[in-house]
Amino acid sequence: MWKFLLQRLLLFIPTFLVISVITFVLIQAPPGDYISSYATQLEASGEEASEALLIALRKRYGLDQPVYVQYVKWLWGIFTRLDFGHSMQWNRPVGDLIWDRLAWTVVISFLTIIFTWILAFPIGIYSATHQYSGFDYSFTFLGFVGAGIPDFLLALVLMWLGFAFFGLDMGGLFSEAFRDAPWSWAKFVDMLKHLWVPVVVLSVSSTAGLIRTMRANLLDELRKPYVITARAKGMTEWHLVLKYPVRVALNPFISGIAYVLPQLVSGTTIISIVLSLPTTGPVQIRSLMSQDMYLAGSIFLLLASLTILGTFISDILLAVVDPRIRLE
Amino acid sequence: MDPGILIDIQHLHTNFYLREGVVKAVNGASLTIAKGRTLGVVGESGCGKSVTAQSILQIVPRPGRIESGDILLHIAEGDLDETINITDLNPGDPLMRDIRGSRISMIFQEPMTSFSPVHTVGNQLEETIKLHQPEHRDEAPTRVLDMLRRVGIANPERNVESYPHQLSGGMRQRAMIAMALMLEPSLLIADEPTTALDVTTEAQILALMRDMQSELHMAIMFITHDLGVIAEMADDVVVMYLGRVVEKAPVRAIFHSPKHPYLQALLESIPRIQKRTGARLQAIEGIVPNPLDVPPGCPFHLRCPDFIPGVCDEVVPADTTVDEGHTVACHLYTD
Ligand SMILES: Nc1ncnc2c1ncn2[C@@H]1O[C@H](COP(=O)(O)OP(=O)(O)OP(=O)(O)O)[C@@H](O)[C@H]1O
Ligand SMILES: [Mg+2]
Repeated sequence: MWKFLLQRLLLFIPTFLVISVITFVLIQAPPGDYISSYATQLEASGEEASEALLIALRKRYGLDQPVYVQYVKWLWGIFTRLDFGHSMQWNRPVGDLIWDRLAWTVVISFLTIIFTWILAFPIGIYSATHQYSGFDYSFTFLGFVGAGIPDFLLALVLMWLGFAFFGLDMGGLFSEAFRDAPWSWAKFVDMLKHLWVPVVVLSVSSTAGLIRTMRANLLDELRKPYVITARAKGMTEWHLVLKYPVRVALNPFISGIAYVLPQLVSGTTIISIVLSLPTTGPVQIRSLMSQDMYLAGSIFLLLASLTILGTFISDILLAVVDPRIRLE
Repeated sequence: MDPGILIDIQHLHTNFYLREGVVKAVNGASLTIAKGRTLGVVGESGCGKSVTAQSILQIVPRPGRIESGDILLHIAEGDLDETINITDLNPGDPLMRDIRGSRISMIFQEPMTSFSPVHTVGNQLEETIKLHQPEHRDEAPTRVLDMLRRVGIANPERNVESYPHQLSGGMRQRAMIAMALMLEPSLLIADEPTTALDVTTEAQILALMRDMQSELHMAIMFITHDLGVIAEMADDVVVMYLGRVVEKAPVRAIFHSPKHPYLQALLESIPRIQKRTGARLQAIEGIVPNPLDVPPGCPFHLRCPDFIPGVCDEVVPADTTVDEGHTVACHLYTD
């Protein structure tokens, strides 16, 4: 078990390095170096690019040095000072721009996963144990509808409904009055009133998929001999279904956690633009369009790291729940 | 009911309702299981042995259902003396759940897949006590250790913590037997318990079952394809064909004066089977008819060497007693 975890942990390091290299290559990809494109940008908008700033920046990133030195310095800055570089477009350190957004991205994704599970597991279990019942057919139908509707459309419809019938502005995470207010209970409640919209919208298609998977997994498990053994012992049907086959059918989900996260993060981008949410998605798109590569690269690096972390966590969880893996 | 009888099955019909039609898995079978004795059940694959066993416990999987017939269970314990008709109970009836695992328990062919892969052996064994005797749940761990020791599992303290995949096939089947015997049932149903094991392990498991039987005075319903195992284990034997019991007799009579042409053919095929131990009984000419489309009359008439036209293909033969405790369902013996 510990050996298994240690292996995974050690794998984490090379994976991170590979991702950081890719990210760095991405940053360097546009022609010219970023200071010269920055100067061009400033001049285009009629401002004078101050020579002092340009020299300071060149020195800070060691742009006069070979590429591999630049890479090491960038990585060193991240590791020692959490300095992700400087955003051209915002003329601010990348770190200032992304921490809040990253936190919101994680919060929204996390809530969406929880909401999806709360909805999908009971329905999937009921559908499998009552295969071909009216309930099962209804949810099969709803599932196909849910998987078919584009989520941005659903977001637009919800926004329109909220506005047309309740006069509510569902966009963003806060009402006008609370946007810049300090945290308070009222602000928290206001946030919840807004937060459910993206969570519901993002959950719809993944819930539909998860119900199908849970149902199929459980149907497989329900046919296994150990279910008959449990029945022959005199357990009640609910008790035995929850203790044995459901428990086994959950394993694929636990190993799937890692892949839910990147899917959700890329899924949130469009919804965040539609609902004007402060997540990383919209900033990332804009930074890519304006070639603000340090910002784009850092977001990419952080999200990729989160995904590796997710993989690591799901490996641990899988080892905890499945003795066949733990005791290898 | 005869006080020596534990289970009395009369005209049991258990069907599976499939899209393609109705499979009459058990089609009017009658048999009795005597207290403390071993009833061997033989027959080719698909003849309804397992479904009969599942019917006794009311665990026939969907889309199967007991259609009609009686399964009488005789309970005599101290002052208690009553007869329960299992087919009157619902599968989910609390009384039925009480019977499962405590009065009647079952072991299966595949000891690996018959245990949950993600729970320890100890967890799954203790559960039987926790379910049926919640007032004794504190004793469960010690009783499990004790039972594991009795079925010959070495180092039980360590093995209760094991997961099924960590045990060998023979050990798993021993653990399965321990789980089934935890509450000292009056009937143990063993559905091909040694088919998945090698010959040496098979011999050990069979010996263990005989030992436990004489210790606990329980009856065993032993389902198998293997007439050799029947000779070794059974006191009484029923031979099934296409959902029906075609012959019942004490084990000696089965081997020394077989009556039904099907049983005679099975016995003639023994030498061939012994060469390929564990091979299924397929040595008889012809194949078992499609269970969706059972022929009229005697189910065996299509393959029978003694087929009587106009009789065997029209009338279902009734049970005829040919000797004490020996009945056969065949037109050759009706007068
Ligand atoms: N779950 C099920 N669904 C549909 N049909 C079934 C099911 N279980 C059994 N049957 C059918 O019932 C009939 C009897 O099956 P059963 O399992 O009792 O045979 P068996 O004598 O135990 O055979 P084997 O020696 O192969 O175990 C077969 O025709 C089989 O196809
Ligand atoms: Mg069977």
